[in-house]
Amino acid sequence: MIHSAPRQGRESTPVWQAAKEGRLELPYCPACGKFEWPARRTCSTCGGETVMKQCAGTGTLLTFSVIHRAVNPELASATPYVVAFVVLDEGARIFTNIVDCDPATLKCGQPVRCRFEETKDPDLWVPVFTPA
Amino acid sequence: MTVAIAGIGELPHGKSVGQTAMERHEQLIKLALDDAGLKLSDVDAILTVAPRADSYLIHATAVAEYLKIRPAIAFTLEAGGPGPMAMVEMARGYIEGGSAKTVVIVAADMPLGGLTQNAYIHTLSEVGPVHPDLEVPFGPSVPSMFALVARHHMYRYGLTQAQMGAVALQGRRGAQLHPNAMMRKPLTMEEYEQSPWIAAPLKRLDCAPVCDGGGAAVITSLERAKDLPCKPVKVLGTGFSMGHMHLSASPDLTDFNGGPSLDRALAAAKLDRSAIDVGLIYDCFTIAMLINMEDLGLAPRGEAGRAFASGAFAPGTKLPINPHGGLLSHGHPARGAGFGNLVEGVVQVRGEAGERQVPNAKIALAHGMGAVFATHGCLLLGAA
Repeated sequence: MIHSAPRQGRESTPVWQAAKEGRLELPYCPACGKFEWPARRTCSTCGGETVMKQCAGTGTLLTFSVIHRAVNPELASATPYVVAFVVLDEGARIFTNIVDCDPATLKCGQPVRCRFEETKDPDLWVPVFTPA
Repeated sequence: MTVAIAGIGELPHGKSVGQTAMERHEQLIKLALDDAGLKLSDVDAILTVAPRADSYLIHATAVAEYLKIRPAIAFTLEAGGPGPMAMVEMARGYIEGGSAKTVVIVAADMPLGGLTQNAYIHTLSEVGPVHPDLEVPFGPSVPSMFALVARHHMYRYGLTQAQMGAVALQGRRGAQLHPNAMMRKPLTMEEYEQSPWIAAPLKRLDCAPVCDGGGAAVITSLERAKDLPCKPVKVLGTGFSMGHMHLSASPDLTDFNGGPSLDRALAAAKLDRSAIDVGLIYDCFTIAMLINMEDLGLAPRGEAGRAFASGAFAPGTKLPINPHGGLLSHGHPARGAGFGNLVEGVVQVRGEAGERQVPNAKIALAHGMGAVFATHGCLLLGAA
């Protein structure tokens, strides 16, 4: 499917830049031991600077929806496609797509694995997941 | 609290032809003023929600200009589905604080006549409740965000498709008794089950259809309302709460922060939940009804689906919900959504709901929800 581009110059931009290089990294506060998602450059608890923490790219499908009616005309040919929340093994929960699967076979709680897909901005890619 | 709703205005929901959004605002405002026994020249404050079908730098000021009035206050509010409740709260502040005596509040939109439904839904999916960077690139629709919550509720608590269908059917039965409702054709469970997937597990009949419509109301002091040729309804309590803006930021996916809005309204009114005779609950999707009932503490956590399917909130029960059909069948007038709940609360407390009247409805709860379970507003209304 065609991914519209996240904006440049945002707190989340380094996430999409790392995705282009094949790494799943999210902002993390080492002092508090927690991810900042939605992305922040400073920790919302202690105010310290967050660092980009690499994740293994494995996780669990928390919930998903199979979109049969796309609102963006460019995505009409991609239906049915799946949007989901995935909980990474490191604990962060992210919004994503589940790809390369028969949507009818997906189950909440099943393991999933990350791969990366391009967006309309050649510099910014997004992590998507497949059944593990 | 010392303010009252002195008048209301509502028009049939559906697709209007040959009318502008501004003309509809004027009609609704004049209906509400007539109902209150007041004139345009009495209005010293006007509050609006900006319609998507008609954009101005300051929408309320454009409405005042169109009406050829010069109220002291003409402000436009951004509060999502609880917008009508928030406008009542702002009006209360102006009246109790002495800034205004007659406040007109209005929220209306024309997604069908003005924008076309597809264009509206597309706009909503990109600048609506979805996060522009963290969610939009993955192609979500608004129904899909609610569907994520529905699927999680199924996984966690055993919610079934038929329980969501029961919400749709109850709303439709109410709308059949409402002359302004958009969806008045009888609906069966079989038709619900056969309706196509929009974003599984949500079907077309799980989604409130956007329509042209909205409402207006006149707020004034209780003392003054008693001298007007109207049937004032007292604002007993108001309460608001929020949990997040985007679903990605919510700590939980079935349990949100709606409860405090009703707690606060009840505390202001010195009432408890058992005092509510009729609930008008924001149901932009069937799952929204169920989660909102649980968040507001009107159904046990995880149990709203089973309760709805057993008829626990049908007419004739202890707590009838949405006798007007809700957003699902009375209609979802885009930026005017939620006003129908306020209007029905007033109509029920006045005892003017005809065939759908809840007997002895002394206290009504009108609830609005914004974005994907993000914000909540509650009004408790009672006979003056």
